[in-house]
Amino acid sequence: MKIQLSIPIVAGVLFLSACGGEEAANSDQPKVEVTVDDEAISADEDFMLPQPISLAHAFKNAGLTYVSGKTNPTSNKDSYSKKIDQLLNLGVYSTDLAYCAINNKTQEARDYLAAVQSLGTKVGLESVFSDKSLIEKFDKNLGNQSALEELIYDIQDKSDAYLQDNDLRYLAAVEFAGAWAEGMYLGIDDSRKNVKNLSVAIVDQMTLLRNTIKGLESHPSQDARLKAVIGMFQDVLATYEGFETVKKAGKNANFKAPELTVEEFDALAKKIVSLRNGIVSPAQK
Amino acid sequence: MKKLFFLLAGILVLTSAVNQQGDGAFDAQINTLKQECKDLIKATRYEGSKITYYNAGSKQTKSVELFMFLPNEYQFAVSTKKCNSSVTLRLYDAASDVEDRTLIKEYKNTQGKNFVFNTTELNKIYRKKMPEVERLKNLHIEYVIGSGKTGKEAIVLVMGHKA
Repeated sequence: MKIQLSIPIVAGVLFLSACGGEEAANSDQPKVEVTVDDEAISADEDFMLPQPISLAHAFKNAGLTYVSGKTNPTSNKDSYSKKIDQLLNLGVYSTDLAYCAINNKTQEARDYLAAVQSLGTKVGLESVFSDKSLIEKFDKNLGNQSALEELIYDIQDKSDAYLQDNDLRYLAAVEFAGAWAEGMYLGIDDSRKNVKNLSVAIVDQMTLLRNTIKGLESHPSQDARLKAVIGMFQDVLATYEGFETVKKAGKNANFKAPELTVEEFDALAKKIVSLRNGIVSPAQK
Repeated sequence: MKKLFFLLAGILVLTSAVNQQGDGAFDAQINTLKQECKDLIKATRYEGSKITYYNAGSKQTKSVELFMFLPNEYQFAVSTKKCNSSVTLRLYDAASDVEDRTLIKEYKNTQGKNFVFNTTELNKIYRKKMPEVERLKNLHIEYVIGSGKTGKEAIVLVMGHKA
């Protein structure tokens, strides 16, 4: 939100004019107009996005099983040179970390925690992720799934607090977009085995997409890469909202979720896979 | 004339510095309230927080949309201690552009306190109104802020769910 501060400045100029003198009469006086950003005033309609680990849990509750080799390899972490790609893949790795942790794949989860630390530090969250004791805490709780999950929630809490304290919430929005895309990718890929329950979870999580896009659009630097990423997300949303079953379902997300036809489901799956691949392999896009 | 100009410029700079200091104190108070909210629902796993900032003075409405994908109980802590204007909380099942949305619960005159609510009680109320719905997955909290003294104010919301 922008607040124009022209009025007091103009009043000041008028005051100077009222003081008389030849300078006041000089029409060449430069006009003073100041505009400041007042980012602290919230939008009238705001939203709070869930934690990636909660989304992974929702999929697991719906029957998502762990499939080795589906996540984004940690070896990719050094290939993300642009800040936007680092943030998106920090989100991707956060989901992969959660996916491994809730499925008791502790060694894989440990590797993803290291990848999250590495990318987190690169995007400016050193104070959250440079804590060497994170891995130690993780190692201490190996075999205790609940404690590992608590640790992941705790990391998210610290990360959120840091971003909020430093007016960097738009970074969290980009990170969330990556996390959402990875979760949907893992869910939609596995859903063919358990269409009934998982497709409900997928449709539930589609309700996050509109806000995810709003979050991406809130980033102050709308460079070409970010615009391309937003375009990919919008493409998924347009495809989904174009489905007849979705159009008939109405806007209240608490009512019965639309039951996608096989053709609709396949079309959505294609878009999600393309979106996710465009995030984890940015050079291909 | 030039002296007067510099004097005014100096006053502007000083005012700005004082405001910034004031904002720092305001932010610190908000962080304290956020911690108080977290403590109120400390038995839950942290799901997120949202600080709603507004310029008090005129009547206005702000809203926050929340998602609850897990069947677990979600708990919400709200602090309106930094609100001098009257604040009414209205909990709806859909956004304001949905004509037949349902008001689930309303908390009137909440300004100046911390309080909590949870999905167990909300679901009970909601199922009475909408028997066909299993549980709330999407909640819209509307803050109806009354007119009052001008100034920057904020409402703190923290959300968590039981493990």
